[in-house]
Amino acid sequence: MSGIARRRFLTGAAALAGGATVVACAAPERESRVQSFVHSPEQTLPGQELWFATACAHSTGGNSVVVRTVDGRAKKVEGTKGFPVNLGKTNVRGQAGVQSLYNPDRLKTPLRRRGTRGDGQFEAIGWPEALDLLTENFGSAGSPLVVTGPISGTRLRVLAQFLANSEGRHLVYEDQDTATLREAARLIFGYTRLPHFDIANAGAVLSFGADFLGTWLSPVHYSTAYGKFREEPKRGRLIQIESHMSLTGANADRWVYVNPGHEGALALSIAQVIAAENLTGDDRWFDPVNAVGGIDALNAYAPELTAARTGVAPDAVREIARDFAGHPPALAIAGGSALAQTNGLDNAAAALLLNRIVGSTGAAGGVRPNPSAPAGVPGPTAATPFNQWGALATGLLDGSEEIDAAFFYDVDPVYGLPASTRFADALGEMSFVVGMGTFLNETLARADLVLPATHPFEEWGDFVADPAPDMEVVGYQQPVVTSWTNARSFGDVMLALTSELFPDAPPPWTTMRDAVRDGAQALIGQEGFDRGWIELLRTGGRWQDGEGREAQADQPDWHIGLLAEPAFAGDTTEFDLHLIPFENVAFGAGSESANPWLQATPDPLTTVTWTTWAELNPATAQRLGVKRNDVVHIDTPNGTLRARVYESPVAPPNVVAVPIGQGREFGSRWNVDRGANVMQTLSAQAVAGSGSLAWGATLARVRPAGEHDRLPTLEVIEDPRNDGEAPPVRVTSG
Amino acid sequence: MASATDTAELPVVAAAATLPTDDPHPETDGHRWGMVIDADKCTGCQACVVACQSENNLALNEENRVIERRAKTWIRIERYWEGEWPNAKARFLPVLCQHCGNAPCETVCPVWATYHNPDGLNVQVYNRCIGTRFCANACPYSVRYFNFWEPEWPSPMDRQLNPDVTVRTKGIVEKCTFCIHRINRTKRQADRDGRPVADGEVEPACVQACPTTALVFGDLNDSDSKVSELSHSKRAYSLLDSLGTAPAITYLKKVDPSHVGEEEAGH
Amino acid sequence: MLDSFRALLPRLSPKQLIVISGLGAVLGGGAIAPMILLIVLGAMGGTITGPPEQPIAFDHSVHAGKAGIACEFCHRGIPVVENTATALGTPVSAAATIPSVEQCMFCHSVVATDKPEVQKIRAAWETGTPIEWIRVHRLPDHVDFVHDPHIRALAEAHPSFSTAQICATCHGDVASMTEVEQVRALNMGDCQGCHRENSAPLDCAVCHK
Repeated sequence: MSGIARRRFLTGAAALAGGATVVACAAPERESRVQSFVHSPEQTLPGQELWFATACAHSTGGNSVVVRTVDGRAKKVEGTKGFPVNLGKTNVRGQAGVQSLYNPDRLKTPLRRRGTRGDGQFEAIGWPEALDLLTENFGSAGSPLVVTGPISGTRLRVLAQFLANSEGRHLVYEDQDTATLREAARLIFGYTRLPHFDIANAGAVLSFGADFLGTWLSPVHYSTAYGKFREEPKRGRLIQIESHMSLTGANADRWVYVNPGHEGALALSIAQVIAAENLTGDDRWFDPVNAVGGIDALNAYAPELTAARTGVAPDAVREIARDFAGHPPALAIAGGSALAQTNGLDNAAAALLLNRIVGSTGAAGGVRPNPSAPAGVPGPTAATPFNQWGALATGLLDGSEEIDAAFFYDVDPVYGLPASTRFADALGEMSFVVGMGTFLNETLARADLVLPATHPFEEWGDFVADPAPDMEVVGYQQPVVTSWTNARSFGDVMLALTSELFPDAPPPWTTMRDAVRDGAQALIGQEGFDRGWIELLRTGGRWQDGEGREAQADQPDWHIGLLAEPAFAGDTTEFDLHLIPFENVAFGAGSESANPWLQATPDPLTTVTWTTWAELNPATAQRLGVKRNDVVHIDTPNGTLRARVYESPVAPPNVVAVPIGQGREFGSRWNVDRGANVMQTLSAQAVAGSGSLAWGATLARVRPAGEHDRLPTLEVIEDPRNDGEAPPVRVTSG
Repeated sequence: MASATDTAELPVVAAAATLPTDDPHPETDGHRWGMVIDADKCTGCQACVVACQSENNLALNEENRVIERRAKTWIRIERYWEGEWPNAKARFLPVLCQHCGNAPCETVCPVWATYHNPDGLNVQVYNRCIGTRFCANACPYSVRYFNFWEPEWPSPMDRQLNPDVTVRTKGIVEKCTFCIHRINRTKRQADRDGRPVADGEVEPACVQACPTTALVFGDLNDSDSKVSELSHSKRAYSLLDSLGTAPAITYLKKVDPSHVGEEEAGH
Repeated sequence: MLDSFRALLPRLSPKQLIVISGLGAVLGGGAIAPMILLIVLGAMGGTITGPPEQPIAFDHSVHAGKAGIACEFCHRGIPVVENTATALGTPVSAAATIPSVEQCMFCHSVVATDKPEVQKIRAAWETGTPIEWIRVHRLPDHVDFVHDPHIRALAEAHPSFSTAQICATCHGDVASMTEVEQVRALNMGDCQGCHRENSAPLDCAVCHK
């Protein structure tokens, strides 16, 4: 590719001139050859670019992308223009898709376990053998378990065929499940689907910990909305309240620190000011306030009374309330660590209640119900909340639960669940474990059989956008390149397994493509289907205003009295800091850390790449006797992790924030043995009422490890330990 | 050592305006490509950074490359801290080649490997570059990157490489091209169709990717273009304006509602 | 060895060659001499190296000559020009493109099936093996060459030209060649000379990528 290097010629010439041995410096052999296609694929010419619409089916929110291909190779990813979720845009993860596709460390062939479980020793086998192993073990299994990510559409229908015949169970694993937010939306608005938060048209957005520009729900969609939100002359204002500055917090007009777990109390304080000062200008706040306990109950949350708990001064609360209610339509949202507390559900409910108080529900710039999923293409199944995973692990370990055969597809609960749930041990109690994915991970490495899954750009599929962007959206996936590995799609494997095991009731489709087409038929009808099908694939999907929007409940089904004090794991005398794990824009909860572009993408705030760091306020660092680049141990009641110190002026003094995503034993050459996995050290506490993991409710202490290791950052700050000396540059040949 | 009186006797340096200098934007019939970056819309999400790496065949920035500060990112998002806790803020600024009208890099190249083209682009001719790195040192924006190593992509990662952009070998300087291959392709297409290039038809990879449309690209010679309109915003400024480099990139200042009152009072 | 060096060396015009040789002779140093030798070899590399041996002895004089098949019938990436500057036949690739084996088989499933060279094509077709042709016209990776604007410009300048005549401007009279070989230097000087004569753009960035 590098062409003929003139420089290399000069090197060769110089060597010759110097009488040295002539080095071989021929033009790359392949450049002097040109291969002809055997068949000429339809509409394809060598060197001509073709763009195909498809999707990263597992991307947050459900974005449609177009992939540029030249000579059958994927070159570039861009957003699909007009697709209502991402409107032609992508985030870092979408852009980096091609590098996951062509990652040399992908799973390339089925693997059978050779050593003991968990040591990662496998031997390569062929697909026929792998399918034999599958049918043998799943045929004799009583009630098999299938664990997937939040899949929707045809994948779900294909899986249902298997589950119906085998009387199996389907659990949905999500790294950071949305159960708390869904439940809070149900309590406050009465919606069962995630609502549409209309950021684009809002006058003010008040976000309690929701990093909607970085990682929350559908970040690309919200980022496009944010662009419109900031459009002059209207220019909406953004207030972010959180315990660790997120990317969204960094972009806020006003960023407010709140003590972890007290977001709900602060939300009620804001509500109290709105009511007491009648900031809506009418009495629209009266009914919702009355429904959740009345003004007397709310008055118990007057700013003066909550200031000590929340850490926010009464004057600041009043300013926030005026700013928020004074710029209608005002939208309040909640996410992140505000919800990851033992009282997270009530924090979320209190925050969402503000929408009813200022009357911004159902209208532009506020919270709107989303239409239901269309017929024929089912929406995603709700994720199984954390407490059920804990219960499953406990049941397996004490023998009250038995699983003969389990199938894990594209998930990694061993990585994402705290070590104290002992899920890795519980996996050992299952008789036969199959793992399917594009890369080996902590869960797959403990399987008896590992199956290579196709990359989203290599398979057929469809998905229902969730949260939907205020309309009914189905996205389509088509293979844009032929897989270079011996991988198969999850749907195809499920179909093969079902028809092999249940020859009397075979599934109505033989391939995933047939199944997807069949689903599309239900969507667009039989008439003129062929044309409609091509149109679906060309535009990336189908969207319409959608019928069957859920009606908003008359009154919120919640009460101020429900808001409890947060509980934290760890004794405050021993553990003096709040441990706040956070997702990073590059690889979120870590599922895509195998990708070197994403590893090298700087964290926007700290500019750190490639590793795990601990964000500390400079004053806290000084108190602990540590500096930037020092290695520290972060102890929690459940474990210890190592990280390098990053002194951040925006880090709260009583918080240590650690990014999620590194610390893997299995994956690619780019993510193995790199950093630490903060999830493992968390306490297994659940959010009351939703059962999600309260990942923000663990206390920690930080102690120096006595070592230091330079942080790979984009920003140029001299290492305080090596006196401004630049690090040595490795001199390499080649 | 010159004393104060000595310097007083030295001839007065001509005011900058009277110094002989080329007009940074000579009149042309063609295009003058430019960009506007709205700091009020940039969220720092890094989508442009990876889009650029993907489009322009940038080598992998391994951990050691970052530590040694040899990482190459034709567009990077600089983060600035403002203030101290609890009033500290983070500010983001995307920085890429400014395609200066008076480019300091162009005058120092001994082999004319970098020059200004008629479309207002600062062009780097890779196969002409001999790697003196004078240009990289002269650039006040630090957006020129030297290839200390031969770029490598473990197979099959090389299948992703964009055939429209050459792979830069070891020993030369590379930088943002405003995705000149996209510009050339669009111009060819427009020429084939017998029409002018429409506003917004050319989108460099970073501009295409930006979810908030903080980056806008277009022809500054077209007074009706979006980029022309935005570059006359009240919030417009150039990076290191005092150096007189006449960049083709205009930044729009971040709006800070807490300061709006003060500014209005000042005017 | 010699061939690989030829491929590597800078292609020079005869004038440049004389200047450099002269310079070399003046300096005359021992260290310079091998350098000059290489440059001379390079000049050879830049001009005509003779036709390479192809895996299948495809004869253009039969196909393009005797049979009179139009260039674009096989090289499908070429925009078709109908005596005007109007380019028809999109999609158009940057490259003229080597035809697929399938395309050869359009005719050769019935025509001349007994010829040993044709049987090679049939074998490739039946086994699904791509044919590895040896490149005759090769530009370095840093050159962004696209056929379309060149063909359109030539069509505009010579309204009476057929597509074959347009192609011949750079590729020579292929219709008379048994084995195709490069007839023009196709180095930067060659490109620039033609661009100058035809008032085509001379901006580096038009061709260099």
